[in-house]
Amino acid sequence: MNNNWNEADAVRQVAAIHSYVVASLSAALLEWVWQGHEYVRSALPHRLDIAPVAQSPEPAPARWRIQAGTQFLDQPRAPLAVIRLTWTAGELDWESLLSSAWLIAHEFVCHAQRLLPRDGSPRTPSGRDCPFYGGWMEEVAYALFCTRVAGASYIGPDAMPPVPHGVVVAASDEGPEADDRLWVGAHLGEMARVAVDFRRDRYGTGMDGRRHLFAQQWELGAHAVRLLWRFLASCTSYEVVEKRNRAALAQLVSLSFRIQSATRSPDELRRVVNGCLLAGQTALSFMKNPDKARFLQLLTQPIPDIAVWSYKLEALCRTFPV
Amino acid sequence: MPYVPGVISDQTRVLHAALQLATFSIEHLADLAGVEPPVAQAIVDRSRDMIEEVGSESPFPKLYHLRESARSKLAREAVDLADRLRGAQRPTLNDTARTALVVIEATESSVQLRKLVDSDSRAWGERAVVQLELARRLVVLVGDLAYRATLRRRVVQLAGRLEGIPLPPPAQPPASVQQRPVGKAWRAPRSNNSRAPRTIWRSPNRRLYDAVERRFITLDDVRKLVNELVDFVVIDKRGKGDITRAILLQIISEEEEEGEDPLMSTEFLIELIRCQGGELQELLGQYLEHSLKLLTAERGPSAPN
Repeated sequence: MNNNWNEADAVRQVAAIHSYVVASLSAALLEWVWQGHEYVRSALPHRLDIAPVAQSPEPAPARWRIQAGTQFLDQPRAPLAVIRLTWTAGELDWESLLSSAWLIAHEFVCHAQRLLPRDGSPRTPSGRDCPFYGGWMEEVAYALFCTRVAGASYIGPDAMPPVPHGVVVAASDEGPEADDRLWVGAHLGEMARVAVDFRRDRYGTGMDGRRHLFAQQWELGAHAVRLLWRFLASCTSYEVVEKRNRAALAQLVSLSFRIQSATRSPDELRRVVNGCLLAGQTALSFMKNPDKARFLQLLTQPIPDIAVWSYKLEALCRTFPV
Repeated sequence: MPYVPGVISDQTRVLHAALQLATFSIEHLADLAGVEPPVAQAIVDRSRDMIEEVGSESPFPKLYHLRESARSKLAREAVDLADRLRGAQRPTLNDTARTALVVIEATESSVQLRKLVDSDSRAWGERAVVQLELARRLVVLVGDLAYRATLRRRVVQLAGRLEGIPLPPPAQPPASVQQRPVGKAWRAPRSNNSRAPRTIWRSPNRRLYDAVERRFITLDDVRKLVNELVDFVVIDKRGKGDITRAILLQIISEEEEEGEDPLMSTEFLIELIRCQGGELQELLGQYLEHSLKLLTAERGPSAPN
């Protein structure tokens, strides 16, 4: 607990955290996802809405005093997502403030950056029980958070990545003050620690032993991601472990966004998660090189039709005795 | 040590267990491991010492990344460590068994959610059936027989609880699949589900292959299947999808062409063609179908020729 901290500074500090997190993640997404994309030349625009309220709209999970959500205000040819952070005025504590870094990263990667459907209709929020958005994308967001946000070492205020001009709508036109940027850099380690605790409480794997109602559905997606990450890391040619993991993470992030741009049907997404679970485990345990090559080809190529893609994924496992 | 999900070295494995042990209360650990409270206290103290040793050498975030990467494995490893301390030996779950366990737990969760949440909109029952099928396939892949037996028992128990929920239709290849599915040798699906229709494949050289009898068949054999009231579906392997209707029309056409006593007269066929595409088409189709059903119901199932 930071005894010198005052809640009056919270709005300014959350804005600084947002600026840093979004700039770091946008750089990764621009490099790994949007590069070479036909329609998207930059990260999709979004806005941060910070709102200390008199009464919390939802009961806070466990000990956390802050909530986050994403609302879509899409217009034709003008997508806009609003990330809303709310806390009850007077109740925000130090750890909840630090957890806003992970909350913003989660909302940004899992929801705000979702591509518009191909028919141009506005985006709609996903179901809370969805294993893809609740588990798969959450795990991807956490991996990005670890490697691109919290993993960055603190050097000085200039080490903060610049906000790409005209790409990301920052919370303030002028950007964070130098003192706030210093403050963010000095607390990155604590933010990483708090993110771990927040995720654990979200799943409900704390000491009280009570699982969240949808935790086991989310686990499906998260487990599929871990399997695919291991498989992709085993396919890269780098000898250094860090490079292998980084290359695999890049492929995984790209795959995740290709899947979500190919469909928004919950049933299709669930089928993808199931197929990846089975194919991923089969690939790690039994597949020989020719089949592994076909699997890798499926994971790294464009997905014009998600039904055909899922069918081919399931067909990979048909030669095995299941 | 970078954050690598699912990959844990021996050194970090011990650390994971220590991390978890350090967060246990003494009573909880004593109860979990079946040891006396003083022994549990010693275990926790030693674990905290280990964390301090590691924490002094490495920056804080890495330690927490390690703890996070072992999130799903911590409890089991803590129990393993406690068991080793009192001399018991527990084998560790292999990866496939762990994956199957994740799916089985999700299936159980779906079954519970079916009761808790509005089942009409979310179709939790059907979801559980699909997950159970996935679990069954994964359990077959589990290498260790002891785990396979345990997991299979849970699958069977779940199947019993799910009894009565209709199975979703088997996934058919989408029409846009132009090539044969990836795989070494084509193996006809051998379905254990007796409710699924028998699949007949039409190969690119237009021959028909019966997946159940495992032999090529003729149109005459298909006609026998119809007469024996066998439910079947004909799939084109080149990706044209379900061609059952086309095959049935072909049977009628050949029979009408070759048979000495045709079912449909020339005048009837002319009238039929005239009705096609007109206002009467839908009405005529319904009328003929209805009349045939009535006739069949009165005479009983038609005897095979």
